[in-house]
Amino acid sequence: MAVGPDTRRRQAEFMDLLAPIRDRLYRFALHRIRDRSRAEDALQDATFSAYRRFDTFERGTDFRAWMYRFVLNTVLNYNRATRRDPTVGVDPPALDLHENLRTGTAYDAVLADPERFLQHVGDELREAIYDLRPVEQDVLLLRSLEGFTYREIADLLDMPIGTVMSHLARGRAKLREKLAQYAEETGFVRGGAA
Amino acid sequence: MNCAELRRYLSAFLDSELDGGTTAEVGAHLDACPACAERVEGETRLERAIAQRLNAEPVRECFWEECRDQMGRPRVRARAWVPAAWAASLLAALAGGFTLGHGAAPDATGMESARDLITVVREHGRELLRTGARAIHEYRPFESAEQGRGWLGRWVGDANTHLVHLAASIPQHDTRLAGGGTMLVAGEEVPLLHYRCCDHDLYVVFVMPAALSHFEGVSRVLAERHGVECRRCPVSNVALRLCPKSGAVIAAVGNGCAPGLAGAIAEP
Repeated sequence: MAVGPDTRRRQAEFMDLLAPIRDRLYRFALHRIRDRSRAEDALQDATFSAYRRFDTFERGTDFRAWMYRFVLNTVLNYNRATRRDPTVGVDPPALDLHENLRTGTAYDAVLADPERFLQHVGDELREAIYDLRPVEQDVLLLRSLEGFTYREIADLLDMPIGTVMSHLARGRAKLREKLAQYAEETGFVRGGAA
Repeated sequence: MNCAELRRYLSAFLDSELDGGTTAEVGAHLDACPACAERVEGETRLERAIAQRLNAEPVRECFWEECRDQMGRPRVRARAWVPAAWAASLLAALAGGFTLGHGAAPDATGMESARDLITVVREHGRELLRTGARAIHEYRPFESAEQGRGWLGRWVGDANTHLVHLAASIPQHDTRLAGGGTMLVAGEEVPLLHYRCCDHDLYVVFVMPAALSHFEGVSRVLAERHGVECRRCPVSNVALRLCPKSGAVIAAVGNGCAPGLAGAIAEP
């Protein structure tokens, strides 16, 4: 079936807007779904959904945020289908990143040289993120990886800013506990080799 | 502000999301408390380093081109999974196919060659698998993973190195090099690497370009008749079959713009 000039123009506009953020969209989907093939499927579904509704996008507004809504919804559906994102109760709020971290432990060595520590960390970093609650993964990735502001995340996830902050702090605290545990187990010490 | 209060604000402080007054209070505390200042600096660097690590996942180059091509068309999704036993037959068939097809000229479409290969799967796959032990009688284990990787690089070049790295880099599964050696394919000694992946043994066998002419037909027949999803890798020009459970490469065929071909399979 031949594609008309209007369709080609519409596709070109959509792909142009997508170009600066498309790798980020993929990384987000991959981190949330964990499986490269299924992440591609989800991203393709999200892209097609967005393209079908491209007429509803208000030119001049934030295309990135608009696009992430489709990706977030699609990821949620994919993970629901595989029961990866179970519905769970709300954890008590935690805003202290170090509430469960004792001083004088291996985590101090991590903070002394985080870049060197992460060189020694393999898939444990991803695993630690995957172990977070789905909403914690969302806010952590949207903030730390994608650079969304709290307001933008609150709009995307349809929740109050305070809830975003709570989930983010809780997710970060859990992540730090895992990294500290890994540092402890591997004997990572300040100034030395792991 | 004291140290405990600062820790409560730390997450928002790292994100520059505190209001001006609170930011000033945090700043004043950090000026007066070297321990907190050191922690905050470490946390800032840790956040940056984590983001850099998470950022290192490229999508394959042709993905967005495929999206554009398929935009607006109804989507056809390949079946997701190949039984391990069938996959095992495929490995044997691939090895056999290389042997049978070595040096043969491809037909115009590749389809006949593909049919030949499928016939091999059906008629000889299990036999080849059963007798596979004989085929690798010259198997000589590598002494170390490093030796295997070095050997791999010398023999088959970047294409298959990319393939193996791809298999090893996919998250949520444990793909690790369990051993390696050499085996005879069509009278040639070729590398064989043994991975453990997704509760399967994964063998990656490398053969030379002369046996690579079947790719288009093979991938089409696999997709149409058996629901096997082949993905073409833009770097190595190798079609990959990915395990939907783990994302691992469980089968691959290619027609080599780069030297070498990988045939990989899960053994039940």
